Amino acid sequence: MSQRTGASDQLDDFAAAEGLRLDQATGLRRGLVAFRNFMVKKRLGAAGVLIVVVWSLIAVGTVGDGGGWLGIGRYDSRSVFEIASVPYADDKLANALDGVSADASDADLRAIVSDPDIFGAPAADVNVQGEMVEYALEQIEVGLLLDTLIEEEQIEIHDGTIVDVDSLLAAGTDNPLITASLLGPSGKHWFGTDRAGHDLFSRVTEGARLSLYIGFFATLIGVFAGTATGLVSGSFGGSVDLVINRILDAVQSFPPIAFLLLIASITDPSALWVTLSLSVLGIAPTNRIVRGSVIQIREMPYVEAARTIGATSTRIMGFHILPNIFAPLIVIFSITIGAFILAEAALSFLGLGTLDVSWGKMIADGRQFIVYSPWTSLWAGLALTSLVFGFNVLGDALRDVLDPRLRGSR
Amino acid sequence: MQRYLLQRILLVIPTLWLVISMLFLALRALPGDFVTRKLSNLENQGAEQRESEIVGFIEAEETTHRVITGDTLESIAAQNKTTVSEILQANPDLDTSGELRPGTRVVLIPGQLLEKIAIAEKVSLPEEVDQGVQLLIDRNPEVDFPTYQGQPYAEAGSILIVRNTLTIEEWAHVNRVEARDILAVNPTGSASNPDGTLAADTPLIPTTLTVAEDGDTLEGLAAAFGRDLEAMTAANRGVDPAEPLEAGKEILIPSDKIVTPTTKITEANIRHRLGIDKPLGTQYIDFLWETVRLKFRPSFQTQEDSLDVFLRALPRSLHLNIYSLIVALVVALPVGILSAMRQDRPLDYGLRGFAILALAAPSFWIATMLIFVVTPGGISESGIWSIPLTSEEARSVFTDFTGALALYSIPAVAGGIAAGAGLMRITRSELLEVLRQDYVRTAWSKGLRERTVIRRHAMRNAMVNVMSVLGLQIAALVGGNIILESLFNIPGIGLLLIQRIGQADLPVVQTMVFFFALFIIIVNIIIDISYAVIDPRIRFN
Repeated sequence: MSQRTGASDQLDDFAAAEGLRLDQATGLRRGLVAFRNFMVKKRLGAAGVLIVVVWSLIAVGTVGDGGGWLGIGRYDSRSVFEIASVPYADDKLANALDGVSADASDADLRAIVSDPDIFGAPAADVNVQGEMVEYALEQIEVGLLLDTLIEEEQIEIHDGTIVDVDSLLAAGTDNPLITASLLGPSGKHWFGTDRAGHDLFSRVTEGARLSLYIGFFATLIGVFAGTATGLVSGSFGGSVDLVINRILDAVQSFPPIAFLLLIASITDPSALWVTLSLSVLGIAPTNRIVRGSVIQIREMPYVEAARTIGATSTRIMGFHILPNIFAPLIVIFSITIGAFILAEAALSFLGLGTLDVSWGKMIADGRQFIVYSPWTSLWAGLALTSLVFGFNVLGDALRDVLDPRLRGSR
Repeated sequence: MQRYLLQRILLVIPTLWLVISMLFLALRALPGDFVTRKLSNLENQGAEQRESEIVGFIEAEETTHRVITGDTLESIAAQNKTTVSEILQANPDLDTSGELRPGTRVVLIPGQLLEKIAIAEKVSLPEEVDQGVQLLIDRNPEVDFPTYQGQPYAEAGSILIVRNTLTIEEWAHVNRVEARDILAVNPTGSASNPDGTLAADTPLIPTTLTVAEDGDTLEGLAAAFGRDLEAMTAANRGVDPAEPLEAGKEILIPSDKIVTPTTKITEANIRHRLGIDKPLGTQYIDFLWETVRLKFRPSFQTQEDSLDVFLRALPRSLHLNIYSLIVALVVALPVGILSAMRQDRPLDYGLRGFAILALAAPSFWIATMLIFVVTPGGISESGIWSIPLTSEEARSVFTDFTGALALYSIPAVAGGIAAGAGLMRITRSELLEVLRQDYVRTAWSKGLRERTVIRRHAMRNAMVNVMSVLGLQIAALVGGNIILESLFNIPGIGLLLIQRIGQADLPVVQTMVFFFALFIIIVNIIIDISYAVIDPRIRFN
């Protein structure tokens, strides 16, 4: 160290002597080393990085139709799936069984229902005859075929003979296909389907896009604006400081969710507005932390030195103060993004979010049918939790590494 | 110290002023405000705009339902005693491919039921609604009333004569007041009876106000407004008709025809009725002054006092929040202490991992899954939780502890878990900080038991910061737990806020948000001051 004589090196030495970090000394190699150290030392943080990277890849990979250009979603998130209709099959079975003796043996029944043609041309057109035969055989296996048909008011038994009834109450008997709603997980639909017959896996993967998009940009704008106000109010102090802080105090006095609701009710349901209203909430906390750091730094000898050689206040803020508050900014960013993703989901859950596929909305949709099928809510919630978990542990780890003073601030 | 306190409290005034101003601006910026919404409804139905002079008439509107999250066609049909096919018939454009979008207006009846009109327009007493319906039919012989499930209704856009004339007696009857009370507060003589008391069967004579200018006389005004001088004198007793009036005196102008209170919907009418027809500046000053006196306007929607609406919903939210906080504390403190005592052991890792997960999991999802896990099928068919809220039951929450537990347990757990996880992390880190201090080591070396060291020496000191975080969480909870309330159908302030924002009911929204902000400001001051009390250095910073 004593061998160096360049002016910038001297400044570095001076800064080191003053106890300042040399974070701004960059270079790709140095960055890689720091990253490797982080991944090794902070296991939980490394897990956070992994989760965030995986979700980001999924979000990027689902852009486009038919499961996205990388095919990650497997199906188009808007395509509606259909399955063989049980009422239709029941109706056709009743037709086929008309006139058969009510105490016909299982073997006789099997012989009748094994003929795929009894399910008619419409079923043949969409190729579900096989499934319907299987369904009928299964019913005979468990001995419930006739009971089910009687219960569905498809047949009646008169004098020991089965009579086909054309029930007005039996809906859906004219179409061999019905919407595949609320199916459980299967080989075709890994996560099952929602009520409208969409594939849940493709919806869950696509939901990552909106969460990350809104979370990232809202945080970016909010932290940027908060840094600007924090820099200005911290550097200038006095009445500027007072005015900025009063305004931000006032903004902070609104309960966040009430603020979001108000904005959502007066604007279009677009991602842009949700992003902007969330970003306003990010200003005040960022401002507080940045202002605190700036007030400390502005008394440092090197800032004073800059001032004595005639640097303008803009220059001091941009070149001398800003680089030194980068560490807390990164920490704020990673912590805020998780909170904003949750807030976006909450808005969508309340029906005030965007029109896109959103995890919050999926949880709300699944709630209505939670008793029949918990899958819609379950997957969306797990996805949401894992993404927020990733950002939270990443933020915690970054905070431990970059700025121990902030520990316990959340 | 006193100076610091004073400074801190004085700083509230600009903050509060800014809050009020922002609130005013934000709410006035509502593009689809109450008036515009009402008018656009009318325009959609092709109603013609008429002069507001014509009174006693009403425009029939469509009966609609505003979709909220979770509504399905089936649920709307069940609620309104109709069927899905009828709804689809009345709403040919309704997009039923996916879920119903919240906020959509679904037409239930392509008009208004006569019994609804009779009640709303006070054609008869509510219990005599059959009679009111008959009166409406009699007074509108040229209008055909189709029926909906046996009930006659007026088609949207048709104009009905609600009443031809109205006497004080009739008006008093349908408004459930005594005729003599009206006469007592309205001692205005009529044209036919200038000297004195009105007969109860006198038709109501509405008046308008005008402000006299220099040189005006009653005679001049009568001529200018085209009114009978006799009627003018009767309306303004004690004013000499020939004498010049002093400038600024308010003069009553009686109407030239007998009218009833107007029900005709025009923009000017509604704006006037809601008090939002004045210039924005005047409204702003009024609003500030009213807020300073803690006087709030009645609700646009229900005409109730906004404060009453707010206070009625408040207890339910307080219940939920207090139980949530109890759950949070009960979970957080022991777990936090345990985790700190067993630092870096498997138990600590497990508990911390759980806390981070609980922070990441959204409360509405936890609540949804709790409903599924705890009481599958036991709540109701559609999985929608409902809290019985007849007045007795609401009151019993204070007296009947087990009842309250059954009602609020799941919502409280769902709300308490996330808050508890945050508190637990703080408790742990604060306690670890304290456990490193010298005096704790001294306590250990004296041979005190673990329990005594933790409880007497460490916990007391660690609690200071824990309490301040708790304070912040209390402040965060005042917003009403909007999500949990809408999830569990608890009609607290959160749910109220959502509803009223949807209805653009400005006075109620203003009142509520004002109190939220006030509460948060007060909590913040208390936290600031308590810091200053604990650590004198802060005061001089």
